Amino acid sequence: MELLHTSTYFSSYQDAENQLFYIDFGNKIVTLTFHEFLHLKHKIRFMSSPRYLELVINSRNIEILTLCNRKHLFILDVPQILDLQNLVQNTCQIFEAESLVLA
Amino acid sequence: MKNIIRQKTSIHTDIMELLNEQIFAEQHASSAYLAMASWCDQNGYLQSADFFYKNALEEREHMMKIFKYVLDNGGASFSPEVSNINHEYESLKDVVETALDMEISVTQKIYNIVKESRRVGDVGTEVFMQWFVTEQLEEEQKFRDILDMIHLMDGAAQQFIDERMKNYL
Repeated sequence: MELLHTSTYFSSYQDAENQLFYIDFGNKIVTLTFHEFLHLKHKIRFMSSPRYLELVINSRNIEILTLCNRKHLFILDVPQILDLQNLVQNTCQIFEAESLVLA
Repeated sequence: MKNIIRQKTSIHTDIMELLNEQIFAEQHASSAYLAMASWCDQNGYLQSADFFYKNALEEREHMMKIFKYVLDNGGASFSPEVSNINHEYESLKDVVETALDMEISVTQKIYNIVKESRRVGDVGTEVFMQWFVTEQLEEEQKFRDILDMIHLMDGAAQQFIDERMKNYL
């Protein structure tokens, strides 16, 4: 496993040989295929939007995140949502920056 | 370092998010046109209703085009959830003005995808979006022409204006 990025609460890794991503949530490491990773990116982007965060803050202050076709379930508070968004975004940027350098 | 993302998809992941937002925008436009068709039908503007039914289908085709492009290039498309569709209009002119505003908004979103694709070097998506740029210019102009026609026929019976809508089908 190759470390890609570490945020306050989480870390991302890749296994290039098997083309898999890993996210370390602290108490659990989740294995994601590329498409599962894209689903996480899509969900966390939506959850971290200002309008959605306002809804979360004004209701229960936590949010449920399911991953890998509901195989995993996480309960995240607002700082964790923002931190996970930061992790996923930075993980992608590592690859995108590398593509630009190679180009 | 081996780049898994680049091996799996040709689309920049941030552009993919914008494309998914565009899928939503196109589906939203399709549903809005369906609501406009319904309003026209209920108020006796039958030619206008046909015009908006056709537009609803066209917007759905646009949505599917982007939906398939993302999937065909290794990405993930997400089925859009559409809500808050307006069904209330003051007049046929109000319907057409709303439609033009919506088309302008869709055009701006498309321009943004083109500009962002260029910025991050996603040439494939930039080229793919060219068709949408041309299409949007035509769409906007179509609604401007209809508004011109409504303006020229100011004072005429609404039924005559509706009759002319078949020229834009």
